[in-house]
Amino acid sequence: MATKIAPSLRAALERLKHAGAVNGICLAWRRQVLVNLLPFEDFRADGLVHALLEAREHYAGGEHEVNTFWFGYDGVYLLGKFSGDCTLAVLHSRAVDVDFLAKAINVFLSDTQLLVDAALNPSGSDVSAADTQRLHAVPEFADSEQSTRLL
Amino acid sequence: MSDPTLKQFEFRDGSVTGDTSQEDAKNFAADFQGLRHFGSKIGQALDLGNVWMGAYREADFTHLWTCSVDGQSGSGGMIARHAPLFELFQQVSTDA
Repeated sequence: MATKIAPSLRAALERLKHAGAVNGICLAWRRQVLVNLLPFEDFRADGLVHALLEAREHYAGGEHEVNTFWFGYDGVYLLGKFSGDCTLAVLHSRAVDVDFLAKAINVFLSDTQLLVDAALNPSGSDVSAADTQRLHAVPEFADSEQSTRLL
Repeated sequence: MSDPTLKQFEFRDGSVTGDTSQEDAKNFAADFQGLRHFGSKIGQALDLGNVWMGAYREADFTHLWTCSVDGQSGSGGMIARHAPLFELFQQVSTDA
């Protein structure tokens, strides 16, 4: 299930659409879909990400460190790329776009690490008042009599 | 693409032929089968139909194939470098 994310990460992903004839984009962290901009429901995006990760694990077992998968289907191509724990999949309709798309995805994954971190840890720097306790730096004495007794 | 490390293969009805060693043909066949399996799985997840082309790339290796819809015949190549996918795709498709 895609999580609610900061608009800036979604906006950064939207910009990737200018890299070619892009039909959809999906960004995941490990097995969790962060943004689903595919023309498909979230459960299908989950299936896509799981299959890509499974494929990468399969090849890793044979000592292949795969960083890119590219598949062709009737009328559409799917490009999947990995960077650390992030997976980005793009559906595109022109084969000739693939290498520029791959480069643009690499730059995206490099430039948006902080946005991904913010999406994963939404409360990172914005501390809510409900999560805090007031500090009592000064002892609270009810009256001067109590102060005297303490002395 | 005049790269001496490019190895090209053709396959039909389960047998792979190439201009290099039997070991290379065996490796290509294994990668083809694995990649087609995962390509089909992705195709099912998004209801995209049959996969007819597959590729994977590492820092120093690129593998790509194209095949008929039933997967019984096709051609492919592997190259010992991080090669442009479209260039390899064109090469494999042209020579098929």
